[in-house]
Amino acid sequence: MRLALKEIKYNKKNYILIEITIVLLILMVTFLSGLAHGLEKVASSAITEIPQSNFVLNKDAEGAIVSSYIEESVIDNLMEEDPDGEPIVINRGFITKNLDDSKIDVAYFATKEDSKIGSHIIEGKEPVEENTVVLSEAFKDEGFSLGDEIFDKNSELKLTVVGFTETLSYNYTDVAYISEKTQDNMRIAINPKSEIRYTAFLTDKTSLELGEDLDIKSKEDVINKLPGFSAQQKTIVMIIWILIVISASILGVFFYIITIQKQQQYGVMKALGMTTFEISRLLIRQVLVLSFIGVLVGNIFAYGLSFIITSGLPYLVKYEELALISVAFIIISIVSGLISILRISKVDPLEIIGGAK
Amino acid sequence: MSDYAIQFNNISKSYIDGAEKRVILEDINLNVEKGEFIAIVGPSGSGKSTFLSIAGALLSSDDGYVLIGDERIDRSNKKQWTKIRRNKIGFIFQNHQLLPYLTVYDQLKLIQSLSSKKGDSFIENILNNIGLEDVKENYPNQLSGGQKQRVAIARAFMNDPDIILADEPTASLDKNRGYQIVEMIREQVKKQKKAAIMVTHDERVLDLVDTIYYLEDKKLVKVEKEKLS
Repeated sequence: MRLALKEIKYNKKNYILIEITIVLLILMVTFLSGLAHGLEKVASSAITEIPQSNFVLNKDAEGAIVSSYIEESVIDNLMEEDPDGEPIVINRGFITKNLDDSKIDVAYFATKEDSKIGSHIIEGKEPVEENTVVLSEAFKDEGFSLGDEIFDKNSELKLTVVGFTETLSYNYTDVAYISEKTQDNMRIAINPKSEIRYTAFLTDKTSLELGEDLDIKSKEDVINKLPGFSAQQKTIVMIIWILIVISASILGVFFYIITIQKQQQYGVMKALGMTTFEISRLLIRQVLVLSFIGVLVGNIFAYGLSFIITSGLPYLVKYEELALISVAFIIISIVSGLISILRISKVDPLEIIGGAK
Repeated sequence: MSDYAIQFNNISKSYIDGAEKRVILEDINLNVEKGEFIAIVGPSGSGKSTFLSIAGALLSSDDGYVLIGDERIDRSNKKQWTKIRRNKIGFIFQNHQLLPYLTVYDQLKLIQSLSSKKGDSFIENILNNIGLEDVKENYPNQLSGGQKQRVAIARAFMNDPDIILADEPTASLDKNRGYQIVEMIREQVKKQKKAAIMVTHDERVLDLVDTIYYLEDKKLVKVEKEKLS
């Protein structure tokens, strides 16, 4: 280890430049990972946080919760099958502070009064009373606060803000939790003749007596079938991994160039009786030192960014993914160091005799 | 136990040069005793470097064999060559060939740790002996040409070798410094009872060696010292 560090110390300037490049490359990867998870969160966090593990949807929806609806009579049957389950109505709408203000997108999650969903409230109380609403914390940035009276734009129904959940969103829209009764009031205000249409039935059971028109899907399936979700995530994940491979290879190229420059030194080392193995170990140790420091600093920056980036940009650092990226980066950089080792193995110490040709 | 530090027995070497086979060394025999300092001189291209490379376990001969102490260099076992270089040979190269990122002390320490011989006191001793104790924390680029070559000499003794091989050690130095350097090699060779072979075409330093050999036309011929002067 001594020799490896001494060389880095002696050639500080060169290695610092390489190190900066590595840090930037890793930061690019970890930052992208943060954005991917940020997007994942705004697309699906409200679904992810639903306590039940399975969703009953209608068959025609083919797993896509946005196209699913279930009639009331069917829900009644499901309630008999699983009394612990609960139905949910998901509706998109708009809220405003005053009726003539510009409208803000919202996804209403309407549930029974005894719903298990309300457990994510961080401020205030559950929206059990008629015409009350619990908003995602993100709405605070729009100027909404506890006790405000706001309007559902379509029904012009007045709602009282009684609580906030942590920031939760559904399909890139922030969520508002209401009771089924409130949902009925809105529906009837818009069209008195309409009938309630549930979106899904939430259950912890993995199989139920469903009948022909229904399907049971896991939460994970439902999230993957959110519009654009899986295509978007796959794309970003692919970009992340390509970047990891490219970055680690760049480190390999750096070392290859350094190795070529140092061929004579390696020849001397071999003439003095050092084995190819010992010289290669020296190089791998240097790769490890550089990639390790790079990973560490890159991760600290990626983590630090999560404090700087506010709600404007979806950014979420997942530690297990940072760990995976870091380990992958270190492994790939070692592998890319192998071309340098191949080069070292070809150095013939004989060249040193007779005046280093 | 042989009295000789290194023995060359019927060494031949030829190169394929295009379609031609060019013989460089033919049936060379040479024995060097412990504490003996010999020089090999000859015109350039006469095979001095080839001879030194064979002695230094860097190149195999076509015929014959080399014994270092009691160990015979195996023509095809490159792992053994590395081991021999590491433990039994001390090289002094034409240009010092020090590692730029190590201090004088670390240059010596590295070789010592490779062969795991002798202690720190040996390093201090030799640094004192050759007048480098003041610069032992310096890097090569902070040393003069003569100092660098002195470090290279010290390095060659660090693994307590059977044989010192010097390849044109005065090539990059002026007359006075070159002479001092060879004097220093002689001093250490005598003090530590090592055999040494120096390849050179610097005739000014030849009065410092015990025996001179002239390499020409594939053969090694002993030169009577009186003839030179």
